[in-house]
Amino acid sequence: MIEVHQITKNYQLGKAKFTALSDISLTIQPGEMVAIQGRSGAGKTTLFNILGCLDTMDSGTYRLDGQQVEKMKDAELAALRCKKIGFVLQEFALINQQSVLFNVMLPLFFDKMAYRTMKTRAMEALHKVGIANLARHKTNQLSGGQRQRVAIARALVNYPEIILADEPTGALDSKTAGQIMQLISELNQQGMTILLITHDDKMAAYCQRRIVIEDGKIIEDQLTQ
Amino acid sequence: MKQLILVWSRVRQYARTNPGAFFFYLCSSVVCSLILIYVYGNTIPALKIIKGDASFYRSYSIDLHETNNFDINRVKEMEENWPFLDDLKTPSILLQKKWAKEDFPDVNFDGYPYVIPMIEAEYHNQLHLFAVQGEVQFNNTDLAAAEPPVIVPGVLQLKNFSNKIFHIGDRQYRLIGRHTGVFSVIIPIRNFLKQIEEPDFVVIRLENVVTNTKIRDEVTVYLQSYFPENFIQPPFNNGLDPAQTNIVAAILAILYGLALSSLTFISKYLFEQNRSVNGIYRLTGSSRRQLARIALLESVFLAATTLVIAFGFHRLFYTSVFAHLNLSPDIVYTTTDYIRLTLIIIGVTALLYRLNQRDLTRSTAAVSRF
Amino acid sequence: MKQFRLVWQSLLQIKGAALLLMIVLTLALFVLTYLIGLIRYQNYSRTLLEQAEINNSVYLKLAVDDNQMAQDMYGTFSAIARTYEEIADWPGIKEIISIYSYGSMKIDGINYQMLVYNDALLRHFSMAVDGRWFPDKPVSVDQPLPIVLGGTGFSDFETGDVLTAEYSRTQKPISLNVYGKVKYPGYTLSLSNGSTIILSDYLLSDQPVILVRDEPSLLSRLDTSDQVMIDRNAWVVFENGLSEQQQGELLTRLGSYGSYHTYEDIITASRESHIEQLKEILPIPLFLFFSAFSCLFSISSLYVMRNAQNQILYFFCGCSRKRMIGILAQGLFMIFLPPALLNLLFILFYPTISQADWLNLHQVVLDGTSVSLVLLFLAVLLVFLLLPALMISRRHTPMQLYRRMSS
Repeated sequence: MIEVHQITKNYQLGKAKFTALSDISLTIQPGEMVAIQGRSGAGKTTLFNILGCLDTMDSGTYRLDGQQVEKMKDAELAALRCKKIGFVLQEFALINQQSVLFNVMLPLFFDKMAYRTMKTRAMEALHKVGIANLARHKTNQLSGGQRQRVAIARALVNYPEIILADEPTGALDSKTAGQIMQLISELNQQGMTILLITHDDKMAAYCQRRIVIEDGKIIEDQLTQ
Repeated sequence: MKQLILVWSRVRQYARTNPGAFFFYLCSSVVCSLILIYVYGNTIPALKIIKGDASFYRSYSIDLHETNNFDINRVKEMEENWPFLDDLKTPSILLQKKWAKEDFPDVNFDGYPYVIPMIEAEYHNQLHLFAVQGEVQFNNTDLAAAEPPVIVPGVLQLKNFSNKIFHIGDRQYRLIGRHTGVFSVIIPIRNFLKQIEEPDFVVIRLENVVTNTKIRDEVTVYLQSYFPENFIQPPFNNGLDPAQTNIVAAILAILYGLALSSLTFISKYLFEQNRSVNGIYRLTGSSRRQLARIALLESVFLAATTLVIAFGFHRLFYTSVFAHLNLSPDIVYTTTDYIRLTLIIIGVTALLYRLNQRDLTRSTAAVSRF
Repeated sequence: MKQFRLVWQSLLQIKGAALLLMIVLTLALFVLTYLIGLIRYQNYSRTLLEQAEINNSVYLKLAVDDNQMAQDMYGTFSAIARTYEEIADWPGIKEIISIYSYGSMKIDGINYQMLVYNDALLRHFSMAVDGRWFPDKPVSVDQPLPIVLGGTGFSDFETGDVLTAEYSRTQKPISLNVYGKVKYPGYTLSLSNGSTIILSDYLLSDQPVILVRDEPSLLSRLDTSDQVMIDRNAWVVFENGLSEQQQGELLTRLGSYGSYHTYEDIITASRESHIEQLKEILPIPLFLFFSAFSCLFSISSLYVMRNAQNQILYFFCGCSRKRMIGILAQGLFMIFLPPALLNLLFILFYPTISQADWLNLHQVVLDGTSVSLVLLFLAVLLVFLLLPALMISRRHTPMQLYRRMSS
């Protein structure tokens, strides 16, 4: 379960201070699929980074499955990213010159797992997303949709509880986008919590709940299904 | 093991993303290391050669004070059986005897600032002296003359400067020349053995300093076999003292650091181009410390690779190329030298890396992201 | 001015690197300057000897009774002088070149040794002077004594100056006319070295000395006796055309008076010693030069690559490729300029500084020749600096670079 309470995040731009998030509070239950929407500069990515333990907040509290995240050190945050959270990004965030298998195995390098077991686990994840046959291919040889599948496989390899997806279909054509969203939905049906940042209402329609952010504040939070 | 796999994958990444820059970086590092090895060899080992070949660095002194059984035949035998002709030429053999002031009646010792000279003779009358005046070598005429010749130190103050007669004890010699040394009044070997029954020292003087400690010890053992009851003072060590060696090594390390610093700018560019990889590592669960450790391993790996290549090149082409480029002959790299070089190369690389990787450990995962 | 702002912006991309490069360049240039100065000094000393035209001569070091010297200095000096007069009369001996003195002169509280230059010395060892050497005819006694100033430390005096000095032997004032000053580096012949091995640079001295001409009226002018101080060493010049046997006999005879070094021995030993000296010094400067070159090349490449993005934008905004390269070159030149200027100014002012005794790097000669050598080195460095910029710019058009960076 994700619980954030009155989190604020400011950025210093020269002498001026810019408030990206202002007193945001929300709770996300396990197994929910939530769309976070808003215009550019609203604070979606900032919220994404904080929820994903990629960045720290200036004030407020963040509890993840009862753990107080804002008090954690870098190593503990990294462990959360490794084990509990998976990321799927618009730009895929893959290492282009490496193989699909290597990319999927990456989180396991930072975990306490034997190398032989890592390969087995990675192949499992690739099977789940339907591209096990591409294990030996270099990622820069794949199509957009295939790359995003690789990214999803990597996000799943450590059996996380939460998937954070930032515009996962932004760089894809509509058909491929639909396939990816279908895959993500299936993961949610298997019990995974999904947070989806998207501009696209069609993609947001896959989610049960919609949160709209504007000027660093939540202006709408309602169930859609 | 896993970290090494990551390191290897990163290195391959650099090679694939920017092969030109990576190749330049690798070549420059190898050349940098080669130059360091070359300069190191021409400073630290060469300093041992340059330091000097003064006589006390190449003389074995056999002390005969405690024994009264000097036999010239032993010296003859020792010379005839000299087993080191491959490594060392036949040495000079000097016999020396300390005499008192009273034994030099022609010398004015008032205010004389130097030691009282010894009487000395070379076994074959082959002298290696520099002249102040007159002759500094005995020729056949001198040796056959009724009055035997003598060569005295130039600094010896005679009561009559222009006198050609010189007395040693009650024996008379003909003064044929003065030499630049201070310690010895030199007479022919025949006269030494007649006048002096028991020399105080037999000095075995080699032509060159022996840097090989094994041979130096073997010579001592050999001499001891002929003079088993006598103390043998080996040559003084002309090696650098550890402090001096470390200072020179430190200077070289600084210069190497300077040279490498320029390369780290290229490597920084390489790493910058692949900064996204660091972001992905952070995204997928690497802590700052883990990332820093991986990056350090990567630096050490690259340094070790260039080290191995550089050492390999150096050893492979030492005789055909580098030996000819050496500024001094007979430069030898010992194991200690290679260890020192390894420490300099790896140490400086790691230190430079440490200075450059601060931004890796400072930024949040979000900043590293893209 | 507008372009300068662009150049400055481009330099800010490599602040740290530029600073490092400036430091390395400065060090490398100063080391180069020192090496050039050392080699010039070594050559200078040998050239001086070669120009003296004493190929057929030996440097004789008389054996002297030091006890006697301590007890009767002037007596011993007279004996030395007589010995050389005697040697000069031997058949086969052309002349003796020796240096002697009749004391010292005090000017502005400082004592300077006064050396007497006879015809032989003037013939063989009159160095280049500002002004001139002595007048052809002796000047009358009521005129100031013509002198030439040698060595360093006479920056306050110029040719044409008339000085009043106090002569050491009489404590009386004497008027001196500065006819000339030995040109930079100011070395004069020295015969005081009696080392076991004699090198050409042992025969030079930069001590400040007053040189006067040996002429009949000198002693009466100085109002002193003929008690002379003379070096125990001298050049003994043989007649030309002597057979080997004759030379051998002369050498044997000279050997009974002391020890000697032939001219050839000195030149050969000097060459070998100078090479050895360079060998000892060279390794670390070599490393420094390598560092400088690799630094130059890498930082230059980095500079170009870091500025590639900006360059593309300039290109989109109407800047030609030629101008883009010009901006890069100017930036690199700005890194290069301070160390180069610093070094060149040092070389240009060094003669003045050393003459005034503010800074004297002994056994180093820095003058116009050094400047041209350093300029040549700088030209090579500049090519190295610009090479990466030209290479990278030629290989890729701005659009190609833009597409590469975007992907």
